[in-house]
Amino acid sequence: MSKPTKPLRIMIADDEAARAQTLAAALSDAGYEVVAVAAGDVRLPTMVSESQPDLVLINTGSPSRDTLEQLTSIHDKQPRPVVMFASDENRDTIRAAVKAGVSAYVTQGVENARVTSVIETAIAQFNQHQSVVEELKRTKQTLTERKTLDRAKGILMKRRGCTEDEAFGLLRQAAMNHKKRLGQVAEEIVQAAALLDAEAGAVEGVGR
Amino acid sequence: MTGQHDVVELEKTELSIGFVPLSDCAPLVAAYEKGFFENEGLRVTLCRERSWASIRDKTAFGVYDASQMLYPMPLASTLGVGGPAVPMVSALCLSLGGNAITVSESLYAEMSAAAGNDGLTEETSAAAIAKVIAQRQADGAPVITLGCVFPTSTHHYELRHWLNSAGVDCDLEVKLLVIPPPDMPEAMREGRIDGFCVGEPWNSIAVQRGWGRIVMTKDTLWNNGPEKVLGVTRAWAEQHPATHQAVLRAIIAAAAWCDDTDNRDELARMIASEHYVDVPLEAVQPSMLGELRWTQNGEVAERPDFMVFHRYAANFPWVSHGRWFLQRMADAGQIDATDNDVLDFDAIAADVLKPALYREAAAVLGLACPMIDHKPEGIHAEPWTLTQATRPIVMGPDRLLNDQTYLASPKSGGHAPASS
Repeated sequence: MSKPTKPLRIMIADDEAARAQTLAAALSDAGYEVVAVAAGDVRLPTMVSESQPDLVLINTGSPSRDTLEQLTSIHDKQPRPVVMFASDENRDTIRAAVKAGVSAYVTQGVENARVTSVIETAIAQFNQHQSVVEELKRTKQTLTERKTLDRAKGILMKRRGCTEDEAFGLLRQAAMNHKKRLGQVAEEIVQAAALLDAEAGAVEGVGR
Repeated sequence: MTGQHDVVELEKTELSIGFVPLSDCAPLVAAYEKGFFENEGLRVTLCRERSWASIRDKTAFGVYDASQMLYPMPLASTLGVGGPAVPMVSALCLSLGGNAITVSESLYAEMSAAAGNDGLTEETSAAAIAKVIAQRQADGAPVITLGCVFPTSTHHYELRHWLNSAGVDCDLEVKLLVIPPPDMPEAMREGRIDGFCVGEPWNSIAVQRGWGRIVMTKDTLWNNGPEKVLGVTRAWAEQHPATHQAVLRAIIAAAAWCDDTDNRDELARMIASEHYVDVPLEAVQPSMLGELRWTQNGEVAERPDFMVFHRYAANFPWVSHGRWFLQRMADAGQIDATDNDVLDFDAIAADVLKPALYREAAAVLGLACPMIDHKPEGIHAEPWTLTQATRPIVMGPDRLLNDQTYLASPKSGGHAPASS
């Protein structure tokens, strides 16, 4: 990396205050000038024009990102102060950044080479300090529902002597007829089977 | 687990699909909750996102296999408008209609006064706000600020369509701000914006809290106009043709389920739940049940077509719709005017919408499907029958504001909705 004559001015917008502070400290240590640290906020565009950063780092999941997007293309009659970090040569960096949950908006004219190392620092910080609670919760729920669905299918296959496809068909028909979610029907089957069957623990797929 | 179409092997069965908490994420939710994905052998995780930019980037860079997107987004991404140029495909329209323009109580009062004896209706609303804008200019009062959800959003173009119809210059005479949908009612209450164009349930929430009134609906701007799509990257579509087809089939079938009036109440409950939009049920019901309230204590307006998920060939990706939105991007200055000569909007739209993919899915499902790629808009005030289809299809009215027309023929160049 070539040594920049003037340090890049960086603004950090992150809904996770602790992560923002750690990242700000890491960037300051690396010689950058952190001009603003904020949480996600609909006033971000104003903060950008006040603090005049060369680069804005923001957590990908922040709803406030869309308010920054307008700086790239809604005011066509004005110069576009910030563009998303979008050059072809940096696709791999963007990909890594998106996966880590950090997005960057860069003032036009700032060299890509200078930006890359900043983003790499941010990626490293974000990877250490993941904020995917909601994502995890949702994934966990999906997995639980899948397991329940598989168990319910197992119960039906055993009791009705049918194939997996037929068992799924029965479950789905029940969900449609009773205006219930598929996951809910499966859950009820598993519960009912446990209740009805004295040897519930022995029924295949009901591992209790 | 495989469904009835297990002849072709799926390239991928575990999928992540992104959505934004809005009532029109319904077909994706129904596809998951009612087993339409499982029926196609797909194990899908629905991932909630709070920003459209995040949906775009996570889809563009492979975190998600597919996502709910604003109709113009895959077109914008393909052209690199407002972000990296990543070619996308949106072979399935998820919904028609569903948006409205809501203004604050104080702007409503100004508009009512401006409308005078004509009364403030959807039809007079644009002229009324134009008068308010002129009056505020004369008085040196603050410029009217309106919120929309994204630069390349249907909502942005709908605000422009509405304001342009009364001769308002959207770049000079008003201020347009991007604000995330859930923040819209609060931003208006705090006075940071005077009104907004947004999807449901956020208009109804503002109305129910007494913070504003609906003055215009997408119904009236463009009856049965397209709204959301399922977007994937072109690379993903090419690498997963069988999976893509399975996803399209699952969502089309789910969308048909969503459009059955018997299911709308159940759908409203699913959508309102904490995993999806996470709002009180009564906020979701007006648009889902087609019983809209324009003001807090006003009468219910029957709008059975306020949100359409399947009927009227709703899921078909009309190339002429793609061209419409490319022209709106050009009008808004988002596509460089100097590039316009070399950009063939029809070719770009056809490449993104790829109607052949929809036709393939519809054929397997045994659904009637349009045989043409373009249709005119602003022609039908009543339901009509599309005969250029594998079987005749009942289509919804396609009226445009102020009886504008939009021609289907690519050769015509399809002029923009004229300012009146």
